Amino acid sequence: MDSPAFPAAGQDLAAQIRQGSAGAFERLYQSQGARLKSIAYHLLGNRPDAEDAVQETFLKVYRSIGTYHGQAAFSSWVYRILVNTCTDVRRGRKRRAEEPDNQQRGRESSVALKIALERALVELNPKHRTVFLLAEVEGLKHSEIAEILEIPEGTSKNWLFEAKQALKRALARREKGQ
Amino acid sequence: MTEFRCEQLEQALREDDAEMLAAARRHAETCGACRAELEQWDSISSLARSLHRDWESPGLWERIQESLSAETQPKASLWHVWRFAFAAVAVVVISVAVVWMIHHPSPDTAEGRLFLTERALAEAKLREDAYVESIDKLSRLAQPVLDRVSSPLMDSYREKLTLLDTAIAELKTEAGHNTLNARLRNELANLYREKQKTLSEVLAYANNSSTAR
Ligand SMILES: [Zn+2]
Repeated sequence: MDSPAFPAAGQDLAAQIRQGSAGAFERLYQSQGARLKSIAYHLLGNRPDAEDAVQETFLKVYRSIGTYHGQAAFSSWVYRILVNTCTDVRRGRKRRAEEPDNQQRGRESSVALKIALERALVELNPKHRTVFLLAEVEGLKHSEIAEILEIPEGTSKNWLFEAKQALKRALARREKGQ
Repeated sequence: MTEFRCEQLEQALREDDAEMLAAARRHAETCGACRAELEQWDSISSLARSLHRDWESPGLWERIQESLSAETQPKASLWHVWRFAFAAVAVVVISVAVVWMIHHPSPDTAEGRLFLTERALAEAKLREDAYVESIDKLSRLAQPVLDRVSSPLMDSYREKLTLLDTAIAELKTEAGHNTLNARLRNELANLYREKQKTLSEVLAYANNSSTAR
């Protein structure tokens, strides 16, 4: 049931966390920290906020592990907490997105394209952006995304399609000379 | 197998259907428009994978650990901290009192001499400001005893009352910023009760001593 995101059996990890094992939290951080940070970065736009969101996610996992009964994969449950945390942060503040690295800008076309895509991503509707991030940037399956966002799998596919269409249009506009 | 048609491409992409997409790719080998569309689609996907961000976060795990351990060991309330101090002082008070009573056996209490104390104690049962005010009154009654009487037991009472006053002042400062905090109000009430009890003991002790004389 658990995604490749959690090579160790997620349910075991959940059980250890429920028993208050500090080592289990460390394993969660080591296996998922990077991915959690990356998702939070794209949802919040800068590294400090992304790190704060990851820290907050761990606290929330600790506080609410009692409500996790294996109804979804443990990984999906943790990602759901992260995505909701980022949504709350975004609601609570005006966006202060980090500019894409200046030294990279215009160095070569693929980098320029990457920056363009990153900018276009920021303009997306939040639900489309989240699905795009999880599916295309972080490589999660639609079945996992459906669990994380508590939506039907068909909706996940549909939102990804809409996101990619919007990104395609944004990149085409940019090619036409913005 | 029916032939794939250009207008089916959107459905294949939207539904992310593996079989349909395979058919679309076969069709795209001979259809320029669908090929261009699929190439664009794929280039967004491959570009997206490069958007994964990875950076060193020195100290992040330590921060998480700290916040988790702060969560598992909730900060002791001021009342709990003070309770330990009171317990320590109480041990001294009781020990000293036992020794004192062995050496100074007291006769029965003269009821008439207790009326001031009793009246003060009755007042101390009033609530809120009146309650605090009555404790102040009790304090004023006990003060001459505390100033005048010199004994190890009275030293312990003085020490305990100083400790209580410090705790009360500290809590009042904190409560001043959180006027609606029920926990602080409860702790303050506990401290006042403890002070009231201690003052009563001081007055009872003074009455016993003067009766003994
Ligand atoms: Zn075609």
